[in-house]
Amino acid sequence: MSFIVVQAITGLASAASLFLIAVGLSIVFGVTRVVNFAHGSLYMLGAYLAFSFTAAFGDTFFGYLAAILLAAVVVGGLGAVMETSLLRRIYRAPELFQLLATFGVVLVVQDLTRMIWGADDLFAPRMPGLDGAINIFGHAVPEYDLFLIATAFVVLGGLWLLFRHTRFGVLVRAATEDREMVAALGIDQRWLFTGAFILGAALAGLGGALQIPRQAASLSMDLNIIVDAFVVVVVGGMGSIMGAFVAAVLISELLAFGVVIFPQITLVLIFAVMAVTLVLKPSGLFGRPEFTTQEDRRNPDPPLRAGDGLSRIFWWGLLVAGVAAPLVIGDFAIIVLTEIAILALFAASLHFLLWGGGLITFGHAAYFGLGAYGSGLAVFHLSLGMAPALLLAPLAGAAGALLFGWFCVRLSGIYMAMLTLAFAQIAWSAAFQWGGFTGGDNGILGVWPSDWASDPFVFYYLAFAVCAAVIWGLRHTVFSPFGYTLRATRDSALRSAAIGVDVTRHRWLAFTLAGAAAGVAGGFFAFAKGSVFPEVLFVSTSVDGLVMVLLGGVQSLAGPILGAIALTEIETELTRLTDLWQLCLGILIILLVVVLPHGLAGLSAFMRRRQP
Amino acid sequence: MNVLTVEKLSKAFGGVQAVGGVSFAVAPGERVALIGPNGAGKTTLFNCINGQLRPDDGRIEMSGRDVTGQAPHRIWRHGVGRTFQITATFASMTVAENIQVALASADGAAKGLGRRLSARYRAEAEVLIELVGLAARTEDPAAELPYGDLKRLELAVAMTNEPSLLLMDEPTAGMAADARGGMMDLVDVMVAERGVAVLFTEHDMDVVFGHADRVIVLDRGQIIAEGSPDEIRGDATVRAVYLGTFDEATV
Amino acid sequence: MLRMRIRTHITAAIAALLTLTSASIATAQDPIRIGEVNSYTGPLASFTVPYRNGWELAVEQINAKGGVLGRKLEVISRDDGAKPADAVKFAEELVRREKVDLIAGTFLSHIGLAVADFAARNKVLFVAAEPLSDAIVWAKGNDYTFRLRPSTYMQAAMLAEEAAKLPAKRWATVAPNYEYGQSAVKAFQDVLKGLRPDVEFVGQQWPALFKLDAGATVQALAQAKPDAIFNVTFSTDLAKLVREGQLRGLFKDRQVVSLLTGEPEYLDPLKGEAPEGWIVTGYPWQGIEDAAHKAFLDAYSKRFNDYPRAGSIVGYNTILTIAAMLEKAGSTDTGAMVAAMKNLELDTPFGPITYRALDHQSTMGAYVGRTAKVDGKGVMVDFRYANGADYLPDDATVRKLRPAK
Repeated sequence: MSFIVVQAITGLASAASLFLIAVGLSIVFGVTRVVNFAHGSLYMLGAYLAFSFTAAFGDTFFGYLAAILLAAVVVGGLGAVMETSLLRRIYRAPELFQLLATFGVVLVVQDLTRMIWGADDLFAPRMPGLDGAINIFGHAVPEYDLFLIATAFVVLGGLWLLFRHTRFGVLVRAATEDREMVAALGIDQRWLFTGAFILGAALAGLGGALQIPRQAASLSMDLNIIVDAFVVVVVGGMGSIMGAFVAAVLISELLAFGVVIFPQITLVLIFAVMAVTLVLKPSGLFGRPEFTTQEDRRNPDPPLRAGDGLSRIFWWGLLVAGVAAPLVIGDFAIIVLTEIAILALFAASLHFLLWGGGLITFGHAAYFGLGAYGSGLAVFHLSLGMAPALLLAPLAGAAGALLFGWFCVRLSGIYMAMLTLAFAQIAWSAAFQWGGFTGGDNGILGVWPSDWASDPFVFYYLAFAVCAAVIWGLRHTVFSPFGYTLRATRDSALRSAAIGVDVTRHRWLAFTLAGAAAGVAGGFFAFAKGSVFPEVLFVSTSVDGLVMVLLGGVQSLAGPILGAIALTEIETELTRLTDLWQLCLGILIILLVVVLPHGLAGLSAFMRRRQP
Repeated sequence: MNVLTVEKLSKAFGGVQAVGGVSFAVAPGERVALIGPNGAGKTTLFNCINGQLRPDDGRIEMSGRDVTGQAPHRIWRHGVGRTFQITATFASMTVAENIQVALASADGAAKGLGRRLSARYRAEAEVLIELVGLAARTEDPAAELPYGDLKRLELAVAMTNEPSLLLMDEPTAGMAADARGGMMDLVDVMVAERGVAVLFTEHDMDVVFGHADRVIVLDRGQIIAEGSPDEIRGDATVRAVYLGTFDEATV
Repeated sequence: MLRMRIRTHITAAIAALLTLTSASIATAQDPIRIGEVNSYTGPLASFTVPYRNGWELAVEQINAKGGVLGRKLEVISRDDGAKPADAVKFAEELVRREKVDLIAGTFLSHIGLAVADFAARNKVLFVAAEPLSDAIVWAKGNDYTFRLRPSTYMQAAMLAEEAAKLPAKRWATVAPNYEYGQSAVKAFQDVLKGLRPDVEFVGQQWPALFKLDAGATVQALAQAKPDAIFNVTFSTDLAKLVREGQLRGLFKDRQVVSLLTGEPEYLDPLKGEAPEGWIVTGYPWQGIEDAAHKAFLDAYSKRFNDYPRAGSIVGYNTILTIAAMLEKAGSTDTGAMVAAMKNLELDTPFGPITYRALDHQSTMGAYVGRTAKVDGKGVMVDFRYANGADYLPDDATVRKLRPAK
């Protein structure tokens, strides 16, 4: 019994940390509708700054406290810089662009932090005055845990007062509940957005700073916390402070007792909670449904144009180049080209959902990875040859998409993006921790092509032929009645239902089709690399896919292919040239979203506009 | 047989009876207007019929088949075309494509992966475009149409499954007063040429009295009057409900 | 090969237009090219940068003495960003475009395994420097891969030997939930049970890597009421565990045996809170008195103005290995190099080591000792060098573990 009480207190302390980071994310989302991937980076900066400040004047309780608060204030200031210089330019961009731009910030902050503080973990001293433990029912409970719990309640109370009793707070709430109304009231939204973002950033900084008595400041803090914070925000309901609190407590307590009962599956547990919540209550525990997901008339795509002269030349040129290039380029270039062909298909399958169906997925790696694992496991467990193993890849991708898609297509917008991410992370956790079946993090080795295709030259043509054929198939699908109907569901779900289209089912089929196509790419990827590792399922693979699509240009069928070529080349060359390639890639992504939202395919239009 | 029969339909939201036991029918080729003050339950009733809402109680039949509680896309399969108060069309498609997509769906080919849509249902689409007077804009993106043309396009889309009933929610909402007559004349053409029945809600009493064969008046979830436009015009209860606005409209 | 045939025609055509000037025949002046892949960016940089310093130092020293076989050594290094797919891509690049003679490197086990598999496939020699996984030389061992660092099994066995001397009977384990943690716990349990049939394992915690929920995990460990704890967590997880465990009295009156914790990479960030009295494997660079190590330490400190980490020694020894192997092989022919690697003997700052022909594992060992605090910093005391050769299973068992290909 006493163990349960103490474990519950321990869970509450974790909940306090999680709440502080999640609530800032939730407030920023509520007001600006931007899902800020860089929130974890602000949290990490809070920890690093607090480390430096405590080293300078953290010898006493109040000095330490001042160091923590100062870190939060500085991070709030950095938030102001980020909001005014970047986010302000992209509020009107589609959700996905915002997500990506903030991911670019993650990469930049990651490298800058390493440049400033170094790569070593930095362990700050404990908080003076709170460095002991007190005895509760015979168990030692750290004093700092209790301080953390108290701080969370102070912040919760402070936010409550702020939102009830100040003009700023009332406006923030109004903006969260009805954005158009605030705009209609004639309030300058700019300072409201900046203010909300500063508040959110400062809370992230505070959350990070408060961690340093418990854990070392390290470069992996950002991505480690952000996915958990997403889960809390989504479970609690986007924009809801109380929701963030309840969800943080729920998840932390589940984990606290989960480690006792099922110590092996804690990774899966947290995402399972999210998936169940979203299925039962799509807008989270305390969230309200988005009612503005109706068609967006600001920027409709132009109608599809099939095969006018220029695009015909482009596609044939691409085909000829793909066939001819290996005859004149070097060995390694062929291997890079193989990767490009495979990733182009991956990007095209993602593009098919994003652009063809308006289905925002942030977890497309799941289907690519399932394809890779489908092939890899077939070789490993069933000793199948390359050809039958490759046939299993689309089946595995499609099966995963069929299962996950059933849940995902019921949601829309950012909730759908988050649920797809959750499923991809579940797949990743399973692959990572279920060592007996998947080989765990040591992966599956020896997935090499059969002898007849072992020459990179032959394997390239095989991969190129199949990937090109599937890309062509996807392209054709866009123009087929199925593709047009999918486009219809994107343009107006209401109208689609009114002309007899079962919108949910149609989206589900499209999701499955894209999953199968991504699976084909994953299967070839496995054989190109000779091995399969959980990384193929990780969020970074999904991000790579999105960067390719956006780099190439989301409004063009050629976009994903151009993007795959550009990103693969950039990454291959950049990592050879500099240790700071993350910084360069991050800046590239940010510039892309701000300056070139139509991607490379939109470059010509961009240049034309620029000319006087 | 009636194209639409509504029997004792009820729908409540958290204790508030939005629609309380409403019964009426629409005969083939008949134009029926559903009117009432704000909050009378028109929208709820409409959404129960078109499948957006599931009624608590009662029964809806279309051409003799029970369709109570069916989803919108299935209601459409029973020969119902719909237009919305704020038009819903496919902004990223041309006028022709908007109609071709609907025709593909009507043909049961929405999941087809074969021949390109642009090469299919072209002739049928052109007939409908001609009918609503948009021939000059066939290849224009829907996003570029003026609002009135969008309403016409929506009507054409709603006609693609050769419906026996058109459900029109405020067919002239948002249109300039002088364009409203034209729109309703077009609806009358559909009724005359294609034999479709129309159930519509409307605020503009000129439109109601000029284009309805029969008027149903709803108030607080109940039908308080039903009859020809002339009968409704003279009904004391209706006058009481509508107060000044109604008088104005009849002047 | 099909490709060559098609190419021949094209080359013939191009040759008519161009004069072919370059032929890639190595001359005495050309350096011996070593391809190197590791994870130099992101959170792993604190481990791999000291390693890079180590091999850079060795390359400079060897080249200053005129190189090997009359040729200089040149290392062409690539950052894999901790992604196995990219590691394989760069291995391809190094072999095909840079025409390296052999490849070396890797830190993370799964990346080591991916590159090892690539090496076998492409018949290239691979000197796996840092990855710990037993699978690299055993379950997934191959003809072309040799591993330098003492493996998970070896280091766990060193600790199990010490653990067996303790009176503790009830053991709990805490390890990150992935292959490294799982095999470390298994090896420790197997060896300890062999030495002490009376011990029992009463609790296991498997926190997700880098996501240790410290309070809850410590509480759950205490709940099992063990006499002693075997820890495999490291880095940020270790820091959290140590702080939380000390606060909650988990380590009071309990022996802790902890893998790798004596390496400066893991011990130093703990600063004043480094645990005392833990039995660990590691690298007590301050206290090793051998002349060979002294020379290394001086050269390293002078060159980088920093002290070496465990990774530095591994990086340094990697290049020493390659140089010794080249001297023995007398050429850069892969067959000759692979043959030379077998039973290769060389002297290192840790003393002489041998690459076993049996399983391609080097006998490089590690230091086993207890942690203590000196001047507010964690160090290893009462340490001894555990020769890797003594902590490997007998040959028959190894043969079973390493399936013949």
